[in-house]
Amino acid sequence: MSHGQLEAVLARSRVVVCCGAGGVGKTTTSAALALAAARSGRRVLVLTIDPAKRLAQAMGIPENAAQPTPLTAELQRAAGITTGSLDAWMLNPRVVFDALVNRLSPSREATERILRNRIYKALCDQVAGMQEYTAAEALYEFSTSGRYDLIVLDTPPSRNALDFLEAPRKISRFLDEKVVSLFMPSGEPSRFSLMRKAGALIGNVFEKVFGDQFFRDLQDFTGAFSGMFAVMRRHSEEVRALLSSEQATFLLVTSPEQAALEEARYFRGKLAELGLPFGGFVLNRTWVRAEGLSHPSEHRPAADAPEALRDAWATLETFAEQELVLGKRDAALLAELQSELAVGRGFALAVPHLGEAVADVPGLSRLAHALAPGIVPAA
Amino acid sequence: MGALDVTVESLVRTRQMVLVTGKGGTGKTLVSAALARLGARLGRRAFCAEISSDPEATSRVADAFGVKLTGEVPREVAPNLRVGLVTPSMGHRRFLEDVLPVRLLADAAMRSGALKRFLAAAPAFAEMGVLYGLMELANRRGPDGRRENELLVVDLPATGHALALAQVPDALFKLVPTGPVGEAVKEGLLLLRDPARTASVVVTLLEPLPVSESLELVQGVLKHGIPVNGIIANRVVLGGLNAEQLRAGRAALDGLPPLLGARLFGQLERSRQMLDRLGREFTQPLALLEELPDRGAALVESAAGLLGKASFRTPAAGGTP
Repeated sequence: MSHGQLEAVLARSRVVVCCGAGGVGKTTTSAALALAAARSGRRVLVLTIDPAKRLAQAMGIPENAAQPTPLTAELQRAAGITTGSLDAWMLNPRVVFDALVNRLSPSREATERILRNRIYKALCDQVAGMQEYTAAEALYEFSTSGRYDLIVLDTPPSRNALDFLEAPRKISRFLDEKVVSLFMPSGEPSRFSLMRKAGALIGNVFEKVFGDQFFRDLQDFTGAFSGMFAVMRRHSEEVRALLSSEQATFLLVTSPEQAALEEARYFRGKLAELGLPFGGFVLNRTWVRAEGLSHPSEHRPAADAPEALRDAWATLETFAEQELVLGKRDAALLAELQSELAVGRGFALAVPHLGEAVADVPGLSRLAHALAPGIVPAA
Repeated sequence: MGALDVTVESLVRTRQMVLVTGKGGTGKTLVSAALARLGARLGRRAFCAEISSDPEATSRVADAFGVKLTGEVPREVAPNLRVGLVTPSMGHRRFLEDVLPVRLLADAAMRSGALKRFLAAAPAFAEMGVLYGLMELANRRGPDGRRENELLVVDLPATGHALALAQVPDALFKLVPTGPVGEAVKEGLLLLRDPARTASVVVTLLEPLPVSESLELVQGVLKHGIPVNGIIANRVVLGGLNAEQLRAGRAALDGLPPLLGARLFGQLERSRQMLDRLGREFTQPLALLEELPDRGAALVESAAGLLGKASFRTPAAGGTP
């Protein structure tokens, strides 16, 4: 039943956001969900931040692409995608922001001024923080472009994913014209004398703290950017509205580890607090579903088999017992998550441990099938 | 390589700051908590710091000790051991208090909102606040003139962000070469790059992806001039099987339908391969922390006990350390 709910989410949502602690398999899950939706015939983009290199290679996404890259026809065929399509993009803050500047700045000269500004360059080169801003902007661009039916967003590890949720609001605050006007070049008078005084105080503090060179750069930066703030704020507000709407679904990905589970629960509370739509829990890398597997004791080597094999088999039999115990533990965890759901709200489903880390398209296909068994790949 | 062996204990006994980094999900927080606990057991006043952008966050390090801690006020979780969040805004406040001539001006600046928002929203400055907060914790002295925190263990955020912190001094230094920010950043660089005062360890699991990311992380940290003293492999299960037994088991498994226990068997094979790879591709020595059955605060105690006996060794390629 839970799988059916996830399939419905993949069929109807315009945006699916995957959140969770680090190391639980968020990126892989995002890619597999995108693949499943593409199989069902939708045009899908998976936006990923900091993907495992091997996965990026397997999907054929370059690291610094200026645009989303479609999976090759061969890989799409191998993944059972026929009428739908699957594009992937590893977010690059520089590319997104440069595109934004090019689109919004009033003149070529203004564009150059921004792109050359030291503060702008430093902001774009920062690994932390900018990805969250960029994710919001990229989400705006692609959700309004009409190119995709569904965007699956893979967020940074949990606590930073909260930054992503806050980013639009943070941008709005940062870009608040009143704040910005404090940093404006002094040639542009503020309407209010109070603001002027505040501006003078801030200028004073800034020069003391950062030195006057930086203050000039900052004024230049805000001056050059000023015409664009309103547009950027509107984008971030629209993204926020989209993420709060029924068209978006947040999925919480977790492993059976205690810390990851706590993180997922914490996250669910945070979603409720922020008024964002919770879809369900995906309990990843579990040991449930032992059925269909035979026990190694049924295949025990003969007494005269080599000693090394008999020793290996003895260990394998203890591993089989351990897997059964782990399977019971994970089934109990799943039941616990399900019992925490409000009636009729959301789902919790378990995905089996697929052995090796999923790192190629066949691996993603298997994971997609485990997540959404009702979506059958085209032959 | 015996001469190069360094005990984990010697790091927490001698350094002022120990940075703990690694991919998400590798158990950085547990290792940080256990290192701080080990330092406290050795009689040092220890502080385990956790970096958070949210001043209202719940501390995961405190969780590891079975203690609830929310917000910026540190809390003692064991004798000689405090846990606390380090947030950008905390660092900014301290910084402004230190650089502005009048306390009043610092208060006004933080209250004015504009500066606060700017510092919070401009990414490099958020990281700078964290760096300043850490420096302050490492250097703060009590009324008796002694350092309040003799050992500062820092649980750094997941991979990409840990690198961001490492690159902040360089990035900010280019941006703001003069004035108090420049000075503070210079001082921060000196502390981070001084191998006598600062050590760093990278936590990994013996799985392909964490090992690959650790390799990148080590290179990134070194590029910024910060010493990497060793890798700690966490949750290690090596089992009792030798290479010949593993090969025999694999050959038989490959000829059969999927069996129960085969996935754990595969995990064991990968652990062995990853140990070999760590020996081949890393020049840093390796310490092993085996998978522990404990939960909650008992887990930190057990891990501190094991780390107290562990050595960083240079793994021989093709063999276990």
